[in-house]
Amino acid sequence: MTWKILSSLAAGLLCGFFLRVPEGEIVGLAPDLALAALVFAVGFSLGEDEQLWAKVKALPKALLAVPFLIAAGSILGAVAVGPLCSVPPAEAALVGAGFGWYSLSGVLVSQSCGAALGTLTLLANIFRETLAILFTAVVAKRFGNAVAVAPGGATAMDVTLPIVAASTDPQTALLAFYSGTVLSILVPIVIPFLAKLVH
Amino acid sequence: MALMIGALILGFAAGRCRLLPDFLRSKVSAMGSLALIVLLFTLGLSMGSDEQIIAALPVLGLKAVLLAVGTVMGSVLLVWGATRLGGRRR
Repeated sequence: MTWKILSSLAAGLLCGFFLRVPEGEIVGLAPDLALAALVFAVGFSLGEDEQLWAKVKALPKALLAVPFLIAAGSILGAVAVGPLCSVPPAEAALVGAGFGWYSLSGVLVSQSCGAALGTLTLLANIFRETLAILFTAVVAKRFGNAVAVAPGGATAMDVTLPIVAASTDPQTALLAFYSGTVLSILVPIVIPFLAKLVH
Repeated sequence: MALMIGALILGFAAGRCRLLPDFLRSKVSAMGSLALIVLLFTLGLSMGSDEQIIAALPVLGLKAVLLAVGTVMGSVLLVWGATRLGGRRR
């Protein structure tokens, strides 16, 4: 899937670079429909997973708050470094609310706030996934197992799950899956909400 | 915004309540992947068509690295703080 994501993005980039399509001609009904179809598919795969509920019930109650702390921490952290790179708070918050899911957050932000901010969201969340791959083991060792779920954000349910599992214990792997799932659901809810603050 | 949340809830309900016939169920994730590819192509298209974005890519990249570090540090700090508070209470 990763090469499909990168090659479709690269193909679009090259076509755009050589054909110079005016912004107005790209936006139409198609992106909206495709976005709805994508989000529908995300919801569908989550709803279909019957074991999901049994898995969540097996977790200690206190850990259920973890994804919401990660969501708040990601947004606040992005807003906090905003002044260092002259990104206004509302825009930084949007970038942070990708929670590492670069493909969905990139397209969501570009649809509602334009390609420039969409590009920043895409890149920042690609880097977040990269940082998570590099530092999850270090975070687990230094800050404890539950904290190792934080760097990956939404990717803790797929891309970074094996890394969390390898550097912690089975219960934390379960927490990673749960946390990544909740954050994935939050991306298409929080981004449109924050996008209203930018306008 | 309503469209996104509606699509998410509808998808979730359709998956949970098995509303789709078997032959369609396996097609949903393929449809999602196709939609994602179309969307990323259009995002690439608008990135590539915009001279200002192409020119700003190095700057955007640097900003993106800083923001990514911020999101990771923020989320690690909050969860770490909460686990420490929780540990002390016990």
